[in-house]
Amino acid sequence: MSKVSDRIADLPALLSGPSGTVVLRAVLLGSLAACVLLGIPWRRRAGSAAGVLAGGGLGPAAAVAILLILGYQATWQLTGFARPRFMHFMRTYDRRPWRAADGFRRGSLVDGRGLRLAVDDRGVPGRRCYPLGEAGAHILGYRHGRYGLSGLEHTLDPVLSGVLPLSSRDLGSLPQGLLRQDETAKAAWEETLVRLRRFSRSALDHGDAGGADVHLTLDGRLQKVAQSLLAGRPGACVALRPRDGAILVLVSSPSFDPEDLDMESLRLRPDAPLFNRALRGLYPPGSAFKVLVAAAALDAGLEPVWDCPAEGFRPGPGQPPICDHESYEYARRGRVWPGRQGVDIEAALTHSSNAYFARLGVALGHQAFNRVTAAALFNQSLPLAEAPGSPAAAASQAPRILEGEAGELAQCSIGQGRMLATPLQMALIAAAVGADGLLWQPRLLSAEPPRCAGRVMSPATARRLRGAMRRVVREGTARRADVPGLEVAGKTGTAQGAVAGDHAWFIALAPAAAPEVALAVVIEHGGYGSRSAVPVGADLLGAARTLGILGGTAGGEGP
Amino acid sequence: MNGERKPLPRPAPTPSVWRFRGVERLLLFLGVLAIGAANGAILVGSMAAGEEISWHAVLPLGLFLASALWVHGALLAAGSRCDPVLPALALILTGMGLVLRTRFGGWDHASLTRPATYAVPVGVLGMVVLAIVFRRGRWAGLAGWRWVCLGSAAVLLLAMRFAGHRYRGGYYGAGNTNPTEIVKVLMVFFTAGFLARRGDALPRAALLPLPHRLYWGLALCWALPLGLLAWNRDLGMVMILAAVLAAMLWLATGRLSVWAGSLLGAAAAAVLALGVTAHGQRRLAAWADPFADATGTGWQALQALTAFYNGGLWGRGIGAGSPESVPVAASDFVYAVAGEELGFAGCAALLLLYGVMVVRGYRIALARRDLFGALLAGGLTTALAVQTLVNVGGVTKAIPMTGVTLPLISHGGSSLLTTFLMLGLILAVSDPPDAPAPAPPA
Repeated sequence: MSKVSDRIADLPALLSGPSGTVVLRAVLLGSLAACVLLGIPWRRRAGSAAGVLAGGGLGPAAAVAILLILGYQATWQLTGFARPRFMHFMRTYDRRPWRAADGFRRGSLVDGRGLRLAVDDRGVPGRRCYPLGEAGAHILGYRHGRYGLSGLEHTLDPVLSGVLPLSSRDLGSLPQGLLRQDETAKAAWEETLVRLRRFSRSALDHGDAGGADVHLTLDGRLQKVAQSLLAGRPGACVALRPRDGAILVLVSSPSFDPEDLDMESLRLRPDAPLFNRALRGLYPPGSAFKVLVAAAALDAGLEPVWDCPAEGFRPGPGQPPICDHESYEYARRGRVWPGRQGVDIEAALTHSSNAYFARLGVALGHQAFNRVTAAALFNQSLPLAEAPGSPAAAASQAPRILEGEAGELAQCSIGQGRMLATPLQMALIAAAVGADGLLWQPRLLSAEPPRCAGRVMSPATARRLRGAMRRVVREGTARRADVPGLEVAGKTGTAQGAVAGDHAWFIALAPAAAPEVALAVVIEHGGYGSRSAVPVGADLLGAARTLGILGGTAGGEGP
Repeated sequence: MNGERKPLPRPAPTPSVWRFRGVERLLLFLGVLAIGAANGAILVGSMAAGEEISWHAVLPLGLFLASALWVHGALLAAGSRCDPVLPALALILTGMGLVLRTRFGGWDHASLTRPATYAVPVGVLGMVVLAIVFRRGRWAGLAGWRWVCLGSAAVLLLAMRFAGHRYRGGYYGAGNTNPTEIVKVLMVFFTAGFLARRGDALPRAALLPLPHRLYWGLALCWALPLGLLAWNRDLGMVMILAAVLAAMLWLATGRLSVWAGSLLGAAAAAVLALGVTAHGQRRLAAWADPFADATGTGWQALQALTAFYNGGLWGRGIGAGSPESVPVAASDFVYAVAGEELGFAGCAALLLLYGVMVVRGYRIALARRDLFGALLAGGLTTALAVQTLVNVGGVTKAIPMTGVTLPLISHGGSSLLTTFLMLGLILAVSDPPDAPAPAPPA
């Protein structure tokens, strides 16, 4: 008796377990299916077609309509993951404690070496891990239950969260391409097969399928090094490969932890950790901009040898003089700088002579200045990928200088005045010098082919500038970056901001002979570029060599 | 079940009623398994959650068992040779509806005082009574009531317009009943009677290019109810009735021009209803792109689709879904709850059950030699089929949502009673007058 009652008491536990649920569900669905099979009038009853009714076929029509609706229902119920906007809706507004939308594995963001920079936590559904932590927060973005998506997580959401179906046009041209043994068609066919496999798997279990991974050009380890080099100082660092525009490093400091967002306090912090300085920060480029002016001058055949007197260069009557930094330094110590005689363009770059470049800009003329800033992609937003809504760098600002504005032209030629540039923009200028004058569009996705945005300077000019920038590192303002074996070429900048405190710049290339990395570092209120920004750039290039990104042997025997 | 009943004396060569209704027995037995499993799943779930179990928890299974015994027993006792599959499938769908409704707290003490709760027993009772009373050709007498039917449909719709109260965009009678449901039956009666009277003219009655005079009379009679329904913005009912009219004309005449004319008429009506009125345009926009206003007009449809997605192929299990997150889950969107709890497989099974019912309904119609009875069965079957398609299509976003209930499963007394009434009439027509009368039960 007690045994029976015990068994009855155990029944709920038994049936509510996984096996019991399966049994109940199998009984339910099996009975319903059997009812369907039994109910279908397989045999034609005698005399059934001999009625007075003239029109038939309504039964089959209704059956077809039911099957059509079931098919449409399946496109939501079974393969809803292929609808990015639907997945987005469910992740935002589905209030169930367990959401099928979360069970669906989201694709990872993978760096150039296969390191996963954003990946789903296997243990906790819906949790996203960011191994780079703060170092990737700005560019990778975050996925948060309350704050939604940002950065690349936002831009790439359709790919990461869903299996995007091929467009009908792609499908139509596929057979022809396969017949022609076309490589892209073969790749598309492979991709379709993968998707179909995923599709059939997900029909059985949503959790088993996943969105696609996206491969980035970034280098996660270098990114981490860059973030630690900035050490929380407000600033940014961008590094890219000059010859194809692939972005290796894009960090902004200070940053935040994407896995533990505290928006309220982050928004209130005065150093604005949510602000992506690498893409959105607009700073006067200062002396680092002189590289571009030098390029324009060399292309125009302008190579004057001038004296740089202590009282500087006066662009016009009544205009304030533009003096070299030595002049200010001497004055601060109560002495008078003797000036420098017989300065050519390379010496002017090495010593970062304001007077020389202000004069050079005026001599070059406003048209050449406007032309070179346009060629270097100033005054336009720079998207980092072709997909709509991709992260984009803010438009750097170079004023369009009119005839007779010699004062403005002189100020702009030394990167002051109304000049404003993003760190990415300055890295691009360095990259153009490194790529023999060609400017490659910055890009973040490995799958996108490199795109050339045009020529900024002639190859000969680029070679000469690399030599001059190498001299800056060897004997000029960036001697701290003269790492043995790296053969760094660079240019410092100390830009006077609108408010107190100079911004420190360093743009660099390595190795100078055949550059593999171009970078730009800015540190807000960092004082002289040579003191704060150059060490960051130098250490980053050193780390790049350690990590094998820089050959390190190409120009290893520098003097 | 019902095993005690002895086989009836067998009039050769037709099988005995006991054997004739054997498939009904088998189906009802399967139904007990299915609904027992479904009800058991809920029971086990609440027991595992430590809830107190009252006898209300087994009400769905109990109601199903009682209905099954009553239907099978009464039809056997009356020697009815009506279709044995249709009543069984109807009961199984009703039972599934009862189980799904348990999830909305449908079976507590308070629910026992609501009249809608008694729709199932009353409806099942009425279905069997109708199937027996009007069988063997006795339905023919109903043809004479066609003008009364048309008149009462018009009066009912007018009364609803002026005396009913508005609720969720529709007009309702006292106690939130929806008497317009009965208009479907009335209009089928009227049309079947009207067409059967002009039976000899039908095969020659071309609709296009110039409609035969038959159609003018019909159009005149249909204009009033259809116009009133459109005025009440009951788009779902307009769709059902228009499809019923087209299907009955096709059944009666077999002329392809009816198809062409119906398509033209449907296109014109769709343009008028959706393209011109602001109300229609809003609905059309919400249907075409629910994401444009995801938290507004698209909310209902997207939450329903979310429920489907959460169900997946096999469903979360009966009692494991979250019907509270689907708006109007108990009535119009009950199919989404089924989608979440039973999964795509369960939905397919339910829809195929409807499909089998509809196919059998049309077979019943095609097998009749009497035009009125045939049109009656065909028209009522069409009403059931279109109502199912319009509801399911709306919930799955295949077509714009129109606020039509899912027959037999949706919560709603008027809808349930009308559906049982329609099934009873189809069953009556399926019991042929030329069948040999079996010996009365012992």
